[in-house]
Amino acid sequence: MAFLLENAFNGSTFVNESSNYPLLRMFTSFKDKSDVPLIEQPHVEEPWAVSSPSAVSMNQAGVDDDNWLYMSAVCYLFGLHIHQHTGKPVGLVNTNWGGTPVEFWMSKDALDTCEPNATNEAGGAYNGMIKPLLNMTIYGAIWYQGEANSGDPLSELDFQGLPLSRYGCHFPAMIEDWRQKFNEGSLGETVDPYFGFVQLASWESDIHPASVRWGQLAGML
Amino acid sequence: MNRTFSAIAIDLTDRTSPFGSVHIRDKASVAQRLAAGGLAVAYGADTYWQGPTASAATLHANGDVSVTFSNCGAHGLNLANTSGWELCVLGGDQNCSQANSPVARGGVGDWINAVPDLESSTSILVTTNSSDTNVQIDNDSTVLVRYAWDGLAFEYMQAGVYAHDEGFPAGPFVLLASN
Repeated sequence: MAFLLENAFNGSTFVNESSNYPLLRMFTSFKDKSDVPLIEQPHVEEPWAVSSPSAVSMNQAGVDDDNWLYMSAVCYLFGLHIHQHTGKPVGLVNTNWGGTPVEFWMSKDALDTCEPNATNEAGGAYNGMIKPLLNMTIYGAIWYQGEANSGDPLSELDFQGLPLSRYGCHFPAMIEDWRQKFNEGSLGETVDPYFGFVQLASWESDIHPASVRWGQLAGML
Repeated sequence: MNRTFSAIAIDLTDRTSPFGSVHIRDKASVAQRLAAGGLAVAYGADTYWQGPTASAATLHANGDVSVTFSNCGAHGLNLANTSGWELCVLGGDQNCSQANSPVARGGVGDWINAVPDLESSTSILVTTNSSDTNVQIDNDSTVLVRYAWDGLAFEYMQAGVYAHDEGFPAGPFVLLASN
């Protein structure tokens, strides 16, 4: 999800056209893991900004964004589609960290759902980059992750009783948990936020991601 | 799970991405497919988004398998190319466990190459060639069928199965064929 807009196909065009959409607003979290749940982020990478070339691309200010901070190509382009089709203002909260496993984004409660007998601790990105956002009122979330889980054990069973990646439990457990915690954190303002995800693309790898792809879908059935 | 949607990206392969092939650059297609799902599921739009979804597999007496799809779009399936299909008869040492590519002249428990053919606008008939396997599949076999299981399953925009008019691809699946 971190992949930058400017690095996508037609990226420079997307960056240049971003000033045409002042009703798109965006915010980027600081990549900050924490051992304890945080109420507020100690730093913010990009405070709320109106869509513009400098808001969607750090390079516009002459700073090389080697750490892929902002703006996520998929987050921006998804939000742009929603804005163009609905005509409504869209706020985008860009909180991501490339190369991380799903467990990094799960609370202790979510992990306990899948591994009730283990000594689970919340993931560092959950504590540092999700927990501080819970009092926002959100309408939905999108997710593009899973490459880092491609080597996971086949410790679950799918709806047919066939072997399924551990992801098949962790992923839906995280979604349910986020929904509940965003509801509680917003004092009931966030209700059943939608959750959209990208099933992994193909890439050159010795690890076969098919079980994660199937886990992403079969875990939803 | 309610109020969820997904975008299938298995055909957005980018072998020559300067950032590494895991970092595909056609994010516009990713976002377009994902937004179609979002608009339909969460914003009240009447728009196609799912891609063909394998819903059931049936084992015929001669060992062929029919895979039936839902969400096939306005004019049904497009079998754009024949790669990516495998069958396996449960049993043996491997018991259909290998994640990797099909086994040449495979036996019971090995994944073996299979050949798809468009059977109807919503189903695909999957057969094996005797040159690919030494297993005689029949009505008593327990057969699995899977699609697009390889790590790099397809080249750019060249998946095997699409919704014909809408151009959305089917995702990978593994199904137990019932008889």
